[in-house]
Amino acid sequence: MSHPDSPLPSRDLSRIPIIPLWGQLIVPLQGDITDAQAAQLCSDVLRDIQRTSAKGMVVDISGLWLVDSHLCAVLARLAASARLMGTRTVLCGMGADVALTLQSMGIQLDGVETALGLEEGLSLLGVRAVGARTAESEREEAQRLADEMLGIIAPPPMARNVV
Amino acid sequence: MSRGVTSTQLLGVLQHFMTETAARLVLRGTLEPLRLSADTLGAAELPRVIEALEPATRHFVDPARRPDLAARLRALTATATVPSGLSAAREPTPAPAMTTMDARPTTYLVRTEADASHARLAARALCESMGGRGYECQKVATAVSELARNQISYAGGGTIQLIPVQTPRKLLRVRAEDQGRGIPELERVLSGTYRSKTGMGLGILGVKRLADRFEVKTGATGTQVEFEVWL
Repeated sequence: MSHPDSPLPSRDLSRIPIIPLWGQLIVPLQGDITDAQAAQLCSDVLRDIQRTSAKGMVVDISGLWLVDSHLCAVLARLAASARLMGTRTVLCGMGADVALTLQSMGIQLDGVETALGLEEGLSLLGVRAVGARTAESEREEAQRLADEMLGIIAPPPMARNVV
Repeated sequence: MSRGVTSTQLLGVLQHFMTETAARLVLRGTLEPLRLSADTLGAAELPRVIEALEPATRHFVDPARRPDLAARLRALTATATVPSGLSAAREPTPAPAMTTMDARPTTYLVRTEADASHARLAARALCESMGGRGYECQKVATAVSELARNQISYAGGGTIQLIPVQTPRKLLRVRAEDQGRGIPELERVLSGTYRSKTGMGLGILGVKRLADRFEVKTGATGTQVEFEVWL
């Protein structure tokens, strides 16, 4: 809930959620965004930046099936406005087809940082997961567990969570 | 559940030009002398009703908007000619019965953002049903979105026609028409040297870059854009 102190009792369902997380804002975009929603999003995000003094923002567009020049313009404007307020914006989760299409149209999204996924986006903003397993160590873990179950190797003598 | 869909569609169009009450009155006043009922009205009677609606709406519609109303009503018949019971709901769901449907062009009215959203979804669905790959469907949907946006922002609305073509090569042709005042400085827009602050211009240039064939005619009485994406 990004607006716990919102005076409005009824939550507008067409509003795009803005999630504060570890001093950053996460904005997941999904489905089909109307122009009205996009405009509302810009003002909501900028207000939340001011309210939460977020240092960075990740806009995740992995749930969007269509990104056209207008939406790009809105996102670029949002990032530029946020920068004026001292907040970095990272755009992440762009699908291959969307990227190819924007590239063909000659849209470069200048001035907007991009990252492959949400994790990469957050780490660009300096958010590091401490003690969390990376994808690789997780794979090793699974391999070890599988080996253990098959009786190929003995269980490790030490507890696993000594990261 | 096709009860009254045709009349609902007619009401929907009329309501863009007059109040809901006026729209209902006009429709009822038109159907009664024709001995038609709003509940059973089908696509077959549509041309007759539309013809009768033109004089009936005269007192309610600003003369300047009358051609627009006529165009939108006519576009309804175009949508309704799709030979499927579903077509009357303006929701040509392409998944079933695609083999019979895919040879038919479909026209979408674009006046509001919801219309634009509907048109681009339909464009992608049609492209997918024709066997288009992800990138091709993305191109079609994005280009339709750009054109629809231009129609809404600068021409007060228009129509978008999706024409699937199987032979001699498989492609999706899109024809976008409006009765707006045309695109100023089209040459410069298409050459890429023009950059407006509102973002206008990038849209149509984007369509040109996405399309495998692109053609535009613009003048003081309207704009027609036609493009193809080869699948």
